[in-house]
Amino acid sequence: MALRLARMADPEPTDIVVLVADDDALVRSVLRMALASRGLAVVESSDVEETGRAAQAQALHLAVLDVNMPGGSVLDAVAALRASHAHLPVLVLSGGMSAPAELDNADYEFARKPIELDDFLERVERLLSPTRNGSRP
Amino acid sequence: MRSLTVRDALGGPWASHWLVWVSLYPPTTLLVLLRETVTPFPEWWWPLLSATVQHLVVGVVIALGAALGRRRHAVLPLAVAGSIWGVAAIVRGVIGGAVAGSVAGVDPEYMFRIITWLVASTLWVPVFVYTLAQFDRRRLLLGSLDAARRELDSARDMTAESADDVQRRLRESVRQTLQPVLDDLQGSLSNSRESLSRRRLEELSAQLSRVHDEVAAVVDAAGNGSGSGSGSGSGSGSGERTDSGERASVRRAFDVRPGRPALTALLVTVATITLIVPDAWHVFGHLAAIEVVVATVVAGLFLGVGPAIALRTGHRVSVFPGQAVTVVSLVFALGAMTQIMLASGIDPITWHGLVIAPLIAVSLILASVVFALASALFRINEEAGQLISETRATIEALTAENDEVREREGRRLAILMHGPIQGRLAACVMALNFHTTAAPDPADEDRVPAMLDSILAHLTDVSADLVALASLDDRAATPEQG
Repeated sequence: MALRLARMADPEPTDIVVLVADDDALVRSVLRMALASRGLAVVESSDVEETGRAAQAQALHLAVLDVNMPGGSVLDAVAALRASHAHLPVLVLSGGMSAPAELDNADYEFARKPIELDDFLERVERLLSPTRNGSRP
Repeated sequence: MRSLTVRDALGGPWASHWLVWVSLYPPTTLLVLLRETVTPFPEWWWPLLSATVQHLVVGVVIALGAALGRRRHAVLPLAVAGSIWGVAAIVRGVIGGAVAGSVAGVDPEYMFRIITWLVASTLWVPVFVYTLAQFDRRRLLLGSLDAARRELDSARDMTAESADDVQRRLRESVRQTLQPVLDDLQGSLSNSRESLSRRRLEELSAQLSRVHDEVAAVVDAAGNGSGSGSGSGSGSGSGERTDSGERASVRRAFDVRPGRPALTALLVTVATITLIVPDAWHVFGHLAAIEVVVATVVAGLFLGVGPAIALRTGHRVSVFPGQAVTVVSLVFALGAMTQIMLASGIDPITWHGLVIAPLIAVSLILASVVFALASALFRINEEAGQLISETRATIEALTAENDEVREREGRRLAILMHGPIQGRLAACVMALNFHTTAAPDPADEDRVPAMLDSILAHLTDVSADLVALASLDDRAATPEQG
């Protein structure tokens, strides 16, 4: 799966890394291309366990997380991420109408799938703005 | 369920209804003819004209009075309704006296005329209006009862459906809604993949987005218990409902069972005597009046004894002709009354009896119907109202039970639909949307076929999962997919 998003803004490559966690390869591919179009580096995972390993293996600045992945609940996935990155911004995507109840106390942003490209990128930029401004490590 | 109060009945629409006015024309005319029997009018039709004019003016008085009263009260207070009928009686007496005085040159006897009309009105009009109001309510209640029973049958049918039946129906409904659209979409993608323009991809994206939204709507509807064939809400919150808008037939509403034949016969007798005796005495003298009393009492005995015996022996009794006891009693009562009026010799002048007997007959028939219905309708309307309330309560309980099953099964379906179907459709929508929204880049054109392959594979999986879901095979679905 490859889209033409990389050239849409002629972005300068950055050191900012975004984790895309979704068990659907098509979704991962689409999100990767969208993020790459903004010069963001992308790592992927397809289940909760892999998500935890990816978080331990490298520095992350944002995680885009599917609400239903094999190997655990969305709460498990968020906990695995926050174990390595306590202040990591998380964007949770779900096909449901509302945010998952088990995440009531977690700090995250929720969006419904399918999400439009502009909406997705706007949310990503907003969540990354503290990082870009240097207010978050 | 709220009862029909006396004020509702006497102050409601029947207080001034045209049907009451029309119904009372024949007996009041007969009474006028009796009263004017010996008045020396120059032409035979003057009494008839007097009666008609009286009735027309009374109609205007009642209509105007009721219209004025209803400016302040939707339901007329009893005092207002009584005043209107009282004024009508006075007007009737005044007109009758004025016509007799001016045309025949006799003493108008206003006081006698007014008092006799007031007494007759007091005894007859309220019970007549009350009976018609209860009768109308009876027709509405029977209509509501029929509607409630139909709803109850429907709710019972729904309750008899098992949870698996509900689940199967919901899934089949989802499959039937989505499968044709998916097939069309897959066919379109497969057939034109070699020549897909950006515009065509946008169209497919929009079409797929609609499919996704439709899935979400169907699943949401199922989860809310409003899936196809649910029928929920048909009886919810209807405990206070009294009127389905349907009215039972007059014949069916008439089929009531008088509960107290002796009391009814007594009231019929008193009402008839009160109506006729004053004029009989005034016109033909005391012997005629005594004859009327005797004839009416004997008729009343027949009216009371027959149904009373039938009730004691367990036969069903009603005022409707289908219930022969009442009709036969009435026939015997009229026969006895006629015999006494014509051949008893109490009043030696036979033609007096000939003139009075038709009025007694009309009075007995009318009073039998009105008083029998008045006493019976109140009781059976209360029973019908209670039965409707109980039926509605049962419907509500069954509906709540049905809604609970459907909501539970809807949630179960929503969980199964969420991953394998909605998740895959969402992925397809996002792929097409991201592709068509991003800035064009010729270098990526060769990547489109791969994306379309992936989308087609997703749609194929969705179709397969829909079939599996419709066959109640939960294992085919993979809810973990987001």
